[in-house]
Amino acid sequence: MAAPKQSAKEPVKFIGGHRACAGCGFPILLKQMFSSTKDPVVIVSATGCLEVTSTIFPFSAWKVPFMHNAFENSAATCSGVEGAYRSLKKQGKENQNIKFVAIGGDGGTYDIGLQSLSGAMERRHDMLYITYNNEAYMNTGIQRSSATIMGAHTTTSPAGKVVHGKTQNSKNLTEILVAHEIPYVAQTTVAFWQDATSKFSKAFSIEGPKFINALSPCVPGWGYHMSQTVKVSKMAVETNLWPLYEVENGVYKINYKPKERMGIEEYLKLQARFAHLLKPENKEIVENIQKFIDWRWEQLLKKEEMTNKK
Amino acid sequence: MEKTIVARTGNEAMAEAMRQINPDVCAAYPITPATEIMQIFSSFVNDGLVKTNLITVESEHSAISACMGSAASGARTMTATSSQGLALMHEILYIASALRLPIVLAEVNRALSGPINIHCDHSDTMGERDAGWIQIYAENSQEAYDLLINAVRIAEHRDVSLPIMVSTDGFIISHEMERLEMYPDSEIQKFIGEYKPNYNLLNIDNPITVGSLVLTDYYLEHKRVQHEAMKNAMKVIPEIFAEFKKVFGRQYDFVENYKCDDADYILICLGSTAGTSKVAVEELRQEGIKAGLLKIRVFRPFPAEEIVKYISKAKAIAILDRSESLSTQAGPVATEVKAALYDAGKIIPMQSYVYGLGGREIYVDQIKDVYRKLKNTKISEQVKYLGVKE
Amino acid sequence: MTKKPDIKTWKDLNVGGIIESGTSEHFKTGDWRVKVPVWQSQNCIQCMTCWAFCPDNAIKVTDEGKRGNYDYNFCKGCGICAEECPVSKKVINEIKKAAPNANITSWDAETNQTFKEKASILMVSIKDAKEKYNIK
Repeated sequence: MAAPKQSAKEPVKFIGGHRACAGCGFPILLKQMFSSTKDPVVIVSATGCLEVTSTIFPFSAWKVPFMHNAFENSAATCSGVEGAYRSLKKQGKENQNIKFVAIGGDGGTYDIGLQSLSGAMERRHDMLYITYNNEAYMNTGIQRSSATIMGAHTTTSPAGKVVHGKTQNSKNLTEILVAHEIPYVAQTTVAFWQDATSKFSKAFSIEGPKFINALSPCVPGWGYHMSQTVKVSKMAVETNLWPLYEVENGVYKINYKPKERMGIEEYLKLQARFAHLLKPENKEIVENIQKFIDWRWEQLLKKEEMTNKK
Repeated sequence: MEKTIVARTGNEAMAEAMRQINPDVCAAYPITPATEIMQIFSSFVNDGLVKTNLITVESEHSAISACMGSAASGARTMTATSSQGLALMHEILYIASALRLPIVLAEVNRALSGPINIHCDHSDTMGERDAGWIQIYAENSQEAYDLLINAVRIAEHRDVSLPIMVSTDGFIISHEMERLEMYPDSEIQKFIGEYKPNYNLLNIDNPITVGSLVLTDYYLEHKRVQHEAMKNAMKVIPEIFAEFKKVFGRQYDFVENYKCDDADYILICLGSTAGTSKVAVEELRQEGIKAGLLKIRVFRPFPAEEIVKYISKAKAIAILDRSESLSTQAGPVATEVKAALYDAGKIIPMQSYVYGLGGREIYVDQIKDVYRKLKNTKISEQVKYLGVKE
Repeated sequence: MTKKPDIKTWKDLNVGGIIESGTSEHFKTGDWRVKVPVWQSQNCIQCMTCWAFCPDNAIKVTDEGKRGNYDYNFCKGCGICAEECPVSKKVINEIKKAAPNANITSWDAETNQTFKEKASILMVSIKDAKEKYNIK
């Protein structure tokens, strides 16, 4: 973990000239990740906003080795990269100490890439998988994903006259990864520099498979002003919608417990994707969202208590 | 050179070749009838006979994806699959060739579903004929073994740098025991040499970006380069084959010319059916029919000139396709041979057949009948189904 | 500096279409801006928060590791730097304390004289950036 003052002195690994939207969340996340290790890092990315905006031929924003293969296979591709490294190292043909990072959006991770991710984690490759979760398929034009939260308007779960946005709650991918019983699983988001960098640092220090689910706000997909990315990210945590927690060898630790959790309306009203929920007739949906958030939080508290019992 | 004569199935022969190639990484997923290749190879790994890091992935999609990651990281990389497995790889096969990763794939030809079937036909590899991979069809265990060894050299050649698949006919070759001449491990290693990748993702000092987004301004150029690499393969393949002959004594070429030179009637096919056809050719010649056989061994790149060279004097030609295009026209082999003849300004009567789908047996008598019909009956523009229950 | 990519024909492509790293420095995104951040160094507390949250690496860092000026070649004008600047937050709080009804955010703060004097980062119009702050 390093404070921005220290990190700013280090060479930049993801540079400007990429074409992510103004105010995009994931470049911030990448900065936090790169600030968390001094070892060389090799990135394998899924198709998605991050990949298409950073590698438009012949321009690459990456100052580290970067490979993109397809949408659903960043974990599998990274398995091969790490597998090659391991083989060459064993043969004495490779002597660097490289960290491997596979990265994908929620589409490439929660949905189409879930099998590939599960396989890579089960095989215990020494890699960190990061999902920059912006809660929909933003790259194809904001379609719902299994990470999209209930009520959200997306282009395939539009706020209509009869159906008011997505009708299902989001999938709890972080817990699916916990169930893989890998050494380290964590949730973070761009607003909390210290939290994010300490989690990336910890992940880099552990050998074996690691998973970090990072909420990454999306200006056009969520519908907020581009200057509000950090604020929206913070609010997701203050409302308990996106708890900051980590699971190290099965032991839960909630890294931040709001003194008084903020009502979800405060979060919803910041974003155009929820505008329809603020109408009086949709009050019930908001209540259901709130109930669900509180239920998940309670579950999390119980897990923390249970796994910390001596 | 000392050769060891052993009895091996096609799968065993391919696994032995893999052992002797001793790749840095293998990533594979089991599928009938190719399962055995990786099964046997897994024993080689766990018995310490190879240095290979075996990545036992959770699907063929991940197998080829992992192979790509590995090959891009400077490791010699192999895999094996069949049928649905190859079809599941489909999306990634194109990316592997575009990124010019010389992955070597041991393929066992099996019908594609549906209906589901585990037996031989060529629909799996024919479905990938435009994926930018070099494709070689082996007739028997010996060819499978030899060609897999050649494949490493062809794929990794600087001017080619393309992925390659070598296939055998499912069950017919993959599970049938045959005589195999094996060469010493050290000679194989000497022949294939060290893998020198074109680029290496693990080069930290000179980092590269692999697999970037290419839009309308440069996509066409990227494909043009691949076209050139395939053209280079046309030049390189005979060179490697010649070198192989020099070391190991066995001659390979794009095609196998079996008595075509003076033949009136020529049959064209791929894979194990060529073996059956050779018997038919011999028997017909005893009857006084000048029969010839042209076996296409390398299907990608397509050796159009080579093919025309051997068949242009024939009175009539029959082409056996072990896969269906379902275009109402002929299968892929016949279509491409026709195009080759057109370019050469030759019009030769040609009867196209679809046969052997889903592992349907093909007998010497049936093939003889094909020749006789070329001689005695009017040729139909329509594709005919050989051996179908009418 | 990386070499500016110069690909005239298909023959100029690297094998596999690979590209050297960092070439995006030749692709300027500065013309995306609709508003321009102005750094008032005299008010800056050098916390580097703006650097941490800038998605475009548009805040230069000096050899001593201090905050430098904006790299206007790449700044897309999102305004996260201004929004997250602790100095701005402090100044806005002060202004609101004095005048609870003051409607002020970091984004449109240029209308407020106190903010303009005390803040470290101002978001100004392209016209003002050119005319008043000499930023092209």
